[in-house]
Amino acid sequence: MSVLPLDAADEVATEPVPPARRRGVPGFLRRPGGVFGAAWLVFIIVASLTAPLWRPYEVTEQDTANRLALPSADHWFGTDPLGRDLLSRIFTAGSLPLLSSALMLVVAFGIGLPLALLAAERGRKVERVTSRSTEVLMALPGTILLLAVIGVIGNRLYPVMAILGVLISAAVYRVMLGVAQSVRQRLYIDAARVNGLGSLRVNLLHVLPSMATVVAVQAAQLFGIGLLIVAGLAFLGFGPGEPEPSWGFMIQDASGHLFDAPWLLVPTGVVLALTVVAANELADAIAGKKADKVPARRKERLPVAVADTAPADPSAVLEVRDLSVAVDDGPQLVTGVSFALRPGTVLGLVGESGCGKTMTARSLMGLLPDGVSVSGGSIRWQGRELVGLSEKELTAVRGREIAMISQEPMVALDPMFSIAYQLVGPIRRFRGVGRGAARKIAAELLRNVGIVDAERVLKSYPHQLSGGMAQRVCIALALTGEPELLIADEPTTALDVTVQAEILSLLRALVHDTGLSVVIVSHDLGVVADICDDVAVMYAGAVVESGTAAAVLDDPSHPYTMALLGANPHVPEGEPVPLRLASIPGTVPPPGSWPTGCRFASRCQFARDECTAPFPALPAHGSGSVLCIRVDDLASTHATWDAEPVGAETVADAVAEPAPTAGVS
Amino acid sequence: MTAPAGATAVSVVPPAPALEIRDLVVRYGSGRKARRTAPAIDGVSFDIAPGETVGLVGESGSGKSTIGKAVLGLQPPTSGTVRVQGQDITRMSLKQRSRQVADLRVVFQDPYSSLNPARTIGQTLVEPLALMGIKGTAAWEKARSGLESVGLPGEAVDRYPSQFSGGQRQRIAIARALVCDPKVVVLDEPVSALDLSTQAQVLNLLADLRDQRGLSFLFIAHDLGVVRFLSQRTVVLYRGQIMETGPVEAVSQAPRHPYTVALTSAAPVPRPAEQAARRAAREALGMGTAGAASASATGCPFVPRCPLATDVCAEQRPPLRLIDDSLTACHHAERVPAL
Amino acid sequence: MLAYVAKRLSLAVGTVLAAVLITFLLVHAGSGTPGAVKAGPGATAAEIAAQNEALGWNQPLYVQFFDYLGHLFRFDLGTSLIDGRSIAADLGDRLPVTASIALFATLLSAVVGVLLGVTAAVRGGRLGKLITTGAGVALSLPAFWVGVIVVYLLAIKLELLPATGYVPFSSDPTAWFNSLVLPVLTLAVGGAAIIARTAAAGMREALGQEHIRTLRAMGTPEWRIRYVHALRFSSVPVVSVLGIQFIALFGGSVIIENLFALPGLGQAGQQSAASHDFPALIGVVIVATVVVVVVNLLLDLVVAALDPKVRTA
Repeated sequence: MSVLPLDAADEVATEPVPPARRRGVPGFLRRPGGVFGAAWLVFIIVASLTAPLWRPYEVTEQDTANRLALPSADHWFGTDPLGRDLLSRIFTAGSLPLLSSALMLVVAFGIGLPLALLAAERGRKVERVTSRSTEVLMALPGTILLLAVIGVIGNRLYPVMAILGVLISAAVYRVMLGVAQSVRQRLYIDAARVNGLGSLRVNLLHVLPSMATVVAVQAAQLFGIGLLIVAGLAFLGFGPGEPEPSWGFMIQDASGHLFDAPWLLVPTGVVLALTVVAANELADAIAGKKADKVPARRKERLPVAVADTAPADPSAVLEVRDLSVAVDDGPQLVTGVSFALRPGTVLGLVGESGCGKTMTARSLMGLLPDGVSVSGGSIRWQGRELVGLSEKELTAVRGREIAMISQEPMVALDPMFSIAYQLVGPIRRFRGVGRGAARKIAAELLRNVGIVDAERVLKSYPHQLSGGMAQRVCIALALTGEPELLIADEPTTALDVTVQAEILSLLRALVHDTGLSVVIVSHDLGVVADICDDVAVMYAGAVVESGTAAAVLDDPSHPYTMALLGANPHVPEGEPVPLRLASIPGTVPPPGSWPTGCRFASRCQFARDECTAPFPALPAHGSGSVLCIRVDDLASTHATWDAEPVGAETVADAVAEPAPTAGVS
Repeated sequence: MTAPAGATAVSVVPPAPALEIRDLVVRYGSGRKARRTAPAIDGVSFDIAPGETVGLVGESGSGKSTIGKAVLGLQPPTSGTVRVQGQDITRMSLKQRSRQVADLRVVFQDPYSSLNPARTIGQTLVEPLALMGIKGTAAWEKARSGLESVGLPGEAVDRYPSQFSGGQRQRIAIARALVCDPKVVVLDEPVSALDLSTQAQVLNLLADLRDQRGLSFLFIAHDLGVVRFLSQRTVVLYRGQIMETGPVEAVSQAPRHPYTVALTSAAPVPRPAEQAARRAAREALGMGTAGAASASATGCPFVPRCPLATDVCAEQRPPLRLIDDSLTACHHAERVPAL
Repeated sequence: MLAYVAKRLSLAVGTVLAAVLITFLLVHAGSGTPGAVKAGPGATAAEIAAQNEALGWNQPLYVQFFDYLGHLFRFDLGTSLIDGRSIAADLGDRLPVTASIALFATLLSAVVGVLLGVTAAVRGGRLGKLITTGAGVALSLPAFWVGVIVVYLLAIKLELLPATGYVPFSSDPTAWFNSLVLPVLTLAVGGAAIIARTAAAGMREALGQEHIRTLRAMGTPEWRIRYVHALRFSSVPVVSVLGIQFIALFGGSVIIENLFALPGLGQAGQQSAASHDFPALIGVVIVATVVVVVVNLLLDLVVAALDPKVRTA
């Protein structure tokens, strides 16, 4: 008859509606589907329940002169074969399906929801029992079972729909269990339990409110299904008997008059269909599913005006000049970033989250997220301009000349295919060899990245590998096209420190042995000190200091770099641990609200009035630069970023504006 | 119990530890399959004195978070005891604990998931107070002053978590732990989700609060540098067993267990020249690859990765023994090279 | 893998047993007795009692249940209270009708749904919006109403196909096929809509995965990213929904068979329910459950073949 909405949980964000918005119009009423759904459902429910008060004719009243009439002023919807008014009959018929579907919902949620909460709380033993029994219930052909129920208890719709509610509670349970389990994994549940909140209160105060959206979505969907089932039963003759009206039987009646009065089919069918559509639209709107916001077709990147400058550094293999990245029709994410990479060296882009380092790295391969693009500047790779290349031209560069490894090795590999499949494909494509030869090369590549049992790993699937092993496989994959540049985006952040050391050693060996150049993105200054030749420190979308890693880290010029180093608890050998760490007050300003002049000024210990006016980057550290107007003052006074005195952290801090949660990081 | 001879001269009875963990064993799951696999926590014992911070370090899968959960009562231990201020709470339900011992609280790792987004900061902070019998204006007053004590304005009680940054949320989580005036706080990786500068703010705050209030911290972390900053003593954990424990300076500067050596030498320092020297030293150690074959059940769990391993290591589990200032579970602790 | 199959198999057997037990208890919990049905209206209390005695209705419940199970293992579903015919034989004749409708409708909705869903996710833009919105409406339409409209348009207005009736395959394969077209089309409308939504959501999710970015960074051709990697990723949820969908379509056949006057299981169910023919009702439920369970078991194997996490568990 229709399908159970088992997908509800997958499509719904289980976060409760942020309360800030709750005071205004609910989110679902801002979508056209939600407005229509809610309005129609309210209308049909009110109109049906009050039908006896306003209907123009009694449901049994026959206008024998006007049988099978088309709509007219007397009969807005026309009349049926006995000359009865369709408008009166349709709305009078509405209350039974609406109320019995509501009853079905109450029963289904009354059983399914508490059972799901219980199973999620009590863990695997209880869950196994309840889940198995509901799986059985769900595998039963519900509609046919319902016929058996009617065969036994007769045409009594309310008890029949209540029994359907019992059957459907299995589907409710299944969806709610998934949601409840994921909510229970949130730490605020554990925090409440440690606080000593009882099971009932934890569920009522913390678990249920977070499930409200999914409950609403599934209820709306099931309501629509209930209506269809009631109408279907009436169609089969298991509804209220004549002369009482019912939607299903009116359609059955109409199907007998297809030759002489096809109109008869329209009013009842449209009202029923609209009601079910309304329920489903409401569900979609509550779920926040943007049916109307299907991602636009990938558009070709607009060519960006490129300043055609001769490379300033002829030895550079990659030269980035004045690069800007921006959200299309939105704020800038990266501005005026310049750096050069010499062949066979490692450049680090370092900074805190939100500073634009990942966007910069991804723009090098043209792999920015949808809706974000390079808005200016130049990326010269081996003398060739990459900004403005078509998707096709970039595809030819990717993998062959520039490859990439990412932060989460466990999800960077396709879970559905074996490692062998994922390596052999690119090897054949890049090196033009046969399947057998490609497999040999794959095994060799794995051995080169330090995997001893290459044959076993080739046969495995990603979920069977540890994080460190998966990152090695990712590096091997990146090497299949024998690239000259590797972009590594936080390659060790997700790994244990001992595994990180191994991966860094592997990368260093690759650079040393094959002359590979590497751009590594990291938030960890220790990683930068370990592997980088040069470093560019980024803050709020700009490079604030660059130079050789030794110069920048041992003798930082920019206050931000000083502060970052001071905040690092890893002290040099033999030095005592400081009593307090240097810290930076406040937070990084989000894109779109960067101040003019120095973006760090508002948090800087050394800021003066002149810092708020724009100024250019100054040369520093030989070939590097520093973006601080006071750099000479600070150098001459040997300024250091000091930790605030004891107790400073407990002085009330200004509450920031809502944290930036734009889709870009 | 009679005092041992010679103890009569000591006039002060040493205070009971704030937190005492004895022979803790935790197994996940049940049935035959669970009994065959190695337990997540395998006979761990240590104490935390009042006002002391003990850092619990180890890699993922070492069981450090499991110990935190067992202490908090979120994961029932298979055997062993947990005492807070001398009171055995191992078998107490969470509800009983909050009523009888309001002395144990927690700060979790992820400040985004640890605050209920649908409830105001005030509601979150008042929740534990209500269960302790502090209600109405008194509770809200306490919530406000709690926020001020972590460097946030008291008016923030009316706001929702989404209006705060990660570092500020972590301060709120700390305030929630501290409004009940606990004696022991479990800090489960409280700064690993934060950026460096924010991390420093929160670490400084934790140090301040501890010193102001004489709190005891069980500080769970994977970063030895962070542990060294905040802790007095360290417990190094590997596959559910204690490898080494002792004063934090001794463990981090002169480790006596090969695994501690592996951990400390792998942590990079932000000074290129020094880091190059450390790296060379680390590579000279010849540590085995992480995640190598699993160890035998009877011997030392670190055998597959250990450059010093001999037959005895695979056969006998080394007991913790005192070497210099720290306890080390290694047959060959004397042969461990200096860092 | 073996453990997975064993688990699924035991679940299947459990489901069939549950169906037997539930319907059996249901019949006995009702106020009606088979004797009253068999004796017909107007029978005296004594006649009804005699009939019940003959049918074994007065024996203890568990005796009746195990007796029924015993017959079930010999594929004996008893005889109809109305016409005395063998229920197993009757349902055996009807099963092919319903099975072919449900099977063809499932296949059709799978093919059409996946095509539409993948198109919506990959092409996006106005076409994607049209497909998503259209599917949202299509899955809300009552199948019997759609059926009547389909009959009106294709059979009455255009006179392309027979409006109702069923021709067995053995007597005329072409007529058999023609008699199935309208019912299958009617059932497939809603089915295809649901599959399309699942496939579109699955594809969109797949295309947002980190491993897809890895493939892009490797310069993998776009068609390969979409139709090898993303499609495979989204296939598991689609197959899972297909299993649920088959149950729904099988149930939906009750209405379709009524509408198109097809002598299938659903029709038997409807008639038995109307006439309170208890043994026939239990029989219909059992046969329907067995079919559904077998199809779901096959789909479970497909999931295992598709998803290495299931296969290697």
